[in-house]
Amino acid sequence: MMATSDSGDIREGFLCPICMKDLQTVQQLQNHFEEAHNTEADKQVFQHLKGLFGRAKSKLLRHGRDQDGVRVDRGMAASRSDSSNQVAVLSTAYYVGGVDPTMWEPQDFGTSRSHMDSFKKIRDARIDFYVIEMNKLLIRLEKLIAFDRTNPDPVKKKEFEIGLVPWAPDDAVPYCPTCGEKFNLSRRRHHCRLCGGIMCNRCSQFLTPDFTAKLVNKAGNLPVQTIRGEEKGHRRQGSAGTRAMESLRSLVGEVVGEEPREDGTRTCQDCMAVMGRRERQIQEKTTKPIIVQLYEKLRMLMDKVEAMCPEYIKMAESLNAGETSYNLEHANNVRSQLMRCYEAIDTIGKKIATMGASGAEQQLSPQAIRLQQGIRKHCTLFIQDNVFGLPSLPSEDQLRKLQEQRRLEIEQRLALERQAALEAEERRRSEEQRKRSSPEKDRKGAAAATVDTTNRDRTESIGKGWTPAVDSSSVATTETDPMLQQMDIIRSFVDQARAAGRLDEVEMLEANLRELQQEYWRQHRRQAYQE
Amino acid sequence: MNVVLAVKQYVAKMIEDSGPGMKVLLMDKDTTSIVSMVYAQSEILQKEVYLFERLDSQGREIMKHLKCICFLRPTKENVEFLSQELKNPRYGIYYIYFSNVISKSDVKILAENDEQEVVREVQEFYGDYIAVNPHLFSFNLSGCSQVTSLPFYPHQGINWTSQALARSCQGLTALLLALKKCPMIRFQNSSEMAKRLAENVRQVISKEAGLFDFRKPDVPPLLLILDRRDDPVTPLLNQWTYQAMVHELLGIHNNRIDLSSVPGISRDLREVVLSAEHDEFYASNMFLNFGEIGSNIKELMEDFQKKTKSQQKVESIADMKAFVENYPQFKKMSGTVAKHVTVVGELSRLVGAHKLLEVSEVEQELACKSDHSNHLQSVKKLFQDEQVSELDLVRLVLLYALRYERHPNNEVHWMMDALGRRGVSDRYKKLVSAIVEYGGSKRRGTDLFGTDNTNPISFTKKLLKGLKGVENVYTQHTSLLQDVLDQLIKGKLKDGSYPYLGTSTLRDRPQDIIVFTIGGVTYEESLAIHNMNRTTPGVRIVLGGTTVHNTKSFLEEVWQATQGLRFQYTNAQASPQHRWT
Repeated sequence: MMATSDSGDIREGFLCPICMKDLQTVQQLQNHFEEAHNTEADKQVFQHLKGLFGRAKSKLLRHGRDQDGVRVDRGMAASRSDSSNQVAVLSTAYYVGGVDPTMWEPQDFGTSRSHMDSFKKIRDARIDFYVIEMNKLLIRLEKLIAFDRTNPDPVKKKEFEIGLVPWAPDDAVPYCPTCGEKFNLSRRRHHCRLCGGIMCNRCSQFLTPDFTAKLVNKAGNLPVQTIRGEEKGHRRQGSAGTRAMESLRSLVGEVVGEEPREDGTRTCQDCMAVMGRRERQIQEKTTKPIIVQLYEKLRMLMDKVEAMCPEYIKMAESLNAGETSYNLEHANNVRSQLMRCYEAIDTIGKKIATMGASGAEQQLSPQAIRLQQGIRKHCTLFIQDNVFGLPSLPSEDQLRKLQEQRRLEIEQRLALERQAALEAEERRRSEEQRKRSSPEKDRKGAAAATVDTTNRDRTESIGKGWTPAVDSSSVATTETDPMLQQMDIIRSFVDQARAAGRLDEVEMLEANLRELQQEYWRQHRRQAYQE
Repeated sequence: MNVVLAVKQYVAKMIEDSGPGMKVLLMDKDTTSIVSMVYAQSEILQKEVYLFERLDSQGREIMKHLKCICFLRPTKENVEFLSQELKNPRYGIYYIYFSNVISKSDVKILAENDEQEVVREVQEFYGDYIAVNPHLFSFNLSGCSQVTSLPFYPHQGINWTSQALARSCQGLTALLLALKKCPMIRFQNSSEMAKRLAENVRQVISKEAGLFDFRKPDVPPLLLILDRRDDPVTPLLNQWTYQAMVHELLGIHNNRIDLSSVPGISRDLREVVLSAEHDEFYASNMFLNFGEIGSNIKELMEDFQKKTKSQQKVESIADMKAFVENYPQFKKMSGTVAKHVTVVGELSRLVGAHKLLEVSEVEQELACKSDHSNHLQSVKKLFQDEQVSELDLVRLVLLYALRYERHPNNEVHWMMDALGRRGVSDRYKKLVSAIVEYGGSKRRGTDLFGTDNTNPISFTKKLLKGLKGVENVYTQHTSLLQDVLDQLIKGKLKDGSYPYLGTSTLRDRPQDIIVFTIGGVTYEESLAIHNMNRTTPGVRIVLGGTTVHNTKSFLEEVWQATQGLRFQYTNAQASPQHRWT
C-alpha cells in the first residue's frame, strides 16, 4: 500500500525520499530514483539530502579522529592502529578538511599607518614662510605695474616705489652684500624694487616685462592668451602687456648715470630666485608636454571603450540569437565606433612609442624611451584583452535568416504543443473510457483524475483545448516554479515526438530543454549565493 | 594568512591611491625584489605604472608629468636619498610608502625637505618580506650568523650578526602586521639566537602596541622560532620535487633561474622566471615529483600533436626538446611549457650526468637509518665513481660525519683523504669540521637521528618506519621541522624544549601558526608545510626563514658562521682528536 507522506507515522526501510515508496534494497532504491525522479526539482532534493549526509559523515569522521588523536587514514588504519602520532602526514592520503594555501579565505588588507598629519604639520610650518614671502613680493609687483599705468612721471614713481617698500638707507650699506665690493662714485647703490635691499648694478637682476606679465597674470587669473598676444606684437589697450611695456619705459627713464643692462624691474638675487620658482610653478601648471596630451586622449578612449564594450556584447549576443530587441544598424554603428576607438588607441600608442625617435629634437633619455615603450605595451595588451573577445555581428541576410529560423522555431514549438495537447486529450478520453469500463479501479486513480480535471479546467480556459500530457503527480509537486513546469512539458513533448519518429524535432526540443536546465541551475546557484 | 596576497594588496593599494595618470614606481634594492616576486611587469603596466626606477640610481631625468609612487625600506640611506629627491623633485607628485616603521625624526627630515609641497602621502605599508609562495616567505639574508667572542664570556659561540638580527626582527614584525596577527611566541630553547630574536620581536610588539591592536580571535596565533642548527641534515639532501630540485640543481633567486650555463641554450632562455602567480603549469606542478612532471609535459605535447596530426614520437625528454624546437606554434601556444621543457631537460641531464639517483639513495639512507658498515661501503663505492660530482661527495661526507659523529670507528679521516685525492678544494674539506661545529650533536637540542632509544617518541617513530617500509627510497626523509609542527598541532610539543616567551601559554591547539627558521629553510620543508596545510583541518601554517637554502648556499652559511673557530678535523694527517671550543 502506498502511504501518503502527511499521514505522520514513521516508516523505516529503503524509502524513496520523494515519493516515500519502500524499496527493498539499496540497488532497487537507486534504480527507482534514476527512473522515476530525474527531474530538476527531484535532483535538487537529492543534492540537498546528499549534502546533509556528507556533512553528517564528515562530522562523524572528525569526531572519531578527535577521540583517539589519530588521523583517519583510509589505507592503513584498518591494519595498523597508528596510536603513535609520528606517522608522516605525507603518507596519509589527502582527506577532507585541509585547505590549499592558495585557497585560504580572502583576507583583510594588511595594517597600515599614515604619517601625513605630522608630515603636513612640519612642512606647513616651513612652507608658510616661503608662501608668505612670495605673496608679499607678488603683491608689490602687481602694485608697481598698476601704478605705472596711471602715472608715468618718474619722480612720483620713485616716491611711490619708496612708499611701497621702505628702501634701505644708503649709509647703512657701505659694501654690496652680494659681491662684497665697496660702493663709490662709479659703483653706485641700487635698490631692489621688491624688498628695498641694496646692491650694485652688476649684482642687480631685472624682471623682464614678459616675465612680470606672466607672473602677475597668473596671480590675477587673467587668460594666458594675453601673454601670447603680446609676444606676437599685438598691443591691446589696457592689457597686461601694454602695462608692462609702459613700466619698462618709465624704469629706463628712472635709471640715471648708468646704462641699464637689461629692461625691466630691478630686483636683488634673492627676490629673483623666489620669482623664478613661481614662474616654474606656473609653467608646470599651464603647459603640458605633448606626451601628456596624447596620453590623456588615450586614457579617454580607453575609458570610452570600457564603457561601451559590455553594451555592445549584449547587443551582439541578442542579435546573433535572432532576437529582434536591438536594431542591427545601431549595433553596427556601435561596432564601428568601437573599432575606430581601437584604431585610435593603436595609432596614439604607436605615436607615443615613436615620439622624438626620428625628429631633430634633443636625444631622448633612456627613461623617456622606456616610458614610451611602457605605454605602447599597455596599449597592445589593452587591445589584445578587449578586441579578441568582441563578438561579430550577423550581416543583414544572416540576420534575416536567423530571425526567420527563430520564428520557425517558435511556431514549431507552438504547433507541437498544440498537437501534443490534442494527443493528450485523446489519450485522456480513451483512458476515461477504460476507467468507465472498469469502475472497480482503486481510489488512487480517482485522485489522479481529479487533479487531471483541475488541470484540464485551467488549461481549457485558454481556449486551445489542450491538457499537458505529463504525469500529473509530478506537475503537481513542481507547480511552484514555472520553469520546472515548462521543462516537464518539453520533456513530455520529446517523448511524444520520439514516439512519432520525428527525430529532427526531438533534437530541437532537447536543445531547448538543455537551455532551460542551464538557466534553471544558474538561477538556483545565484539564489544560493545570495543566501 | 596568504603572504603573497598581503604584499599584492599593499602594492595594488599604493597604485590605486595615486589615481589616474602616468606613474613611476621608485624603489630600493630590497623593495624591488619584494614587488617583483608578486607582480609581473605586464600586470603593473596595465595599472598605468610605466617606469620602474631605483632611488639610488643617478641621472634620472626630470619628468614632471609623472606621478611618483615610492616604496622604500625605512633605512637611513633611503631617507637621505629621498630628502635629496624631494628638495629637487624630478616628478610631479610623490606618494611615499615605507615598508616598515619609520621614526618620527625621519618623517621630520623628509617634511622639512619638501619645500615644493610635492608629497601627497606618507604611509607605512608593511610589505617588508620576500613572499615566495602563499605559505612561504624569506628575507634573502645569507650568512645571518658569525662567531662572536664576548669579553668575559667563557667561550666563543655562533650568534647573530647585528644587521641580520635587526632585519629578521623588522621582517617578522612586518609580516605579523601585514597578516594582522599579534601572536604568542615560542622559541627553541637550545638556541641562543632564537631566544634573542623572540625577545626582540616581543619588544617591538609592546613598543608598537597601537599597531598590534587587532580583534582577538578565540585561539591566539602562534609564532614559533627555530634554529637551522638543530637540523643541518635537510639542506644537505638532493631533492626530487620540481621546485626544490630546480633550486638544488640550478638555483632560484627571486623566482629567476639562470640557465646561461646550460649547453646549447637559446638566447631568450638564458634567464627564465618561474612564478606560481603567473605560470599555471608551474603552479600546478611545483610540488610534484620529477617523474610526474615529465609525464604531464608529455601529455600536453601529445594533445598538441593530435591537433597538428604530427607523428613525431615524444618518449624521452630529449625527444621533447627536439619537438619544441621543431614546432614553433607549440612554443607560441604554450609558451610557458616550452620553458619548462628546457628546465626539465636540463634537470634530467644533470641527474644522469652525476648519477644523482644513486647518490640520493645513499644520502637518504644516511639521513634516515643507522647502519655504519653498509653506509661506509656505499659511500666508498661512490668515491670510486668518476661521474659523481665533488659537491655530492662532499655532502655525503658531511652527512656521514653528522650521522656517525660519536661512532668510535668512524672513518671521517679516511674520507677527508679521499676528498683530497679527488682534488676537492680545501674549503670544502674544512666544511666537514665546520658542519660538526655548526650542527653537531653538542649543538643540537633534539634527537635528530633518533639514536636515543630511551626517547619513546623517536623510538616508536623508528619502529614504525621499519614496519611500514618505504614507498620511495628517494623521498623517505622527513624533516625535523615537520615532526616539530606535527607535535605542535597536536599540542604535544614540550614546553621545556620550546618554551613560551612570557607567562601566558596556549591552552587550545594552535590554529594560525607562523614558523620562522633562523639560518634558512628549504623547499623540502616548504612542501611539507604545504601538505600539512592541505591535510589538516582548521590549521594554517606559514613558513619563513632568513633565506631559502639549497646545499650550496647552506654550505656558504655554515662557512660564514664558523669562520674563526678551530676545527676538529683540521688536517687529514693530524691524528690526535682535539676539540677547541
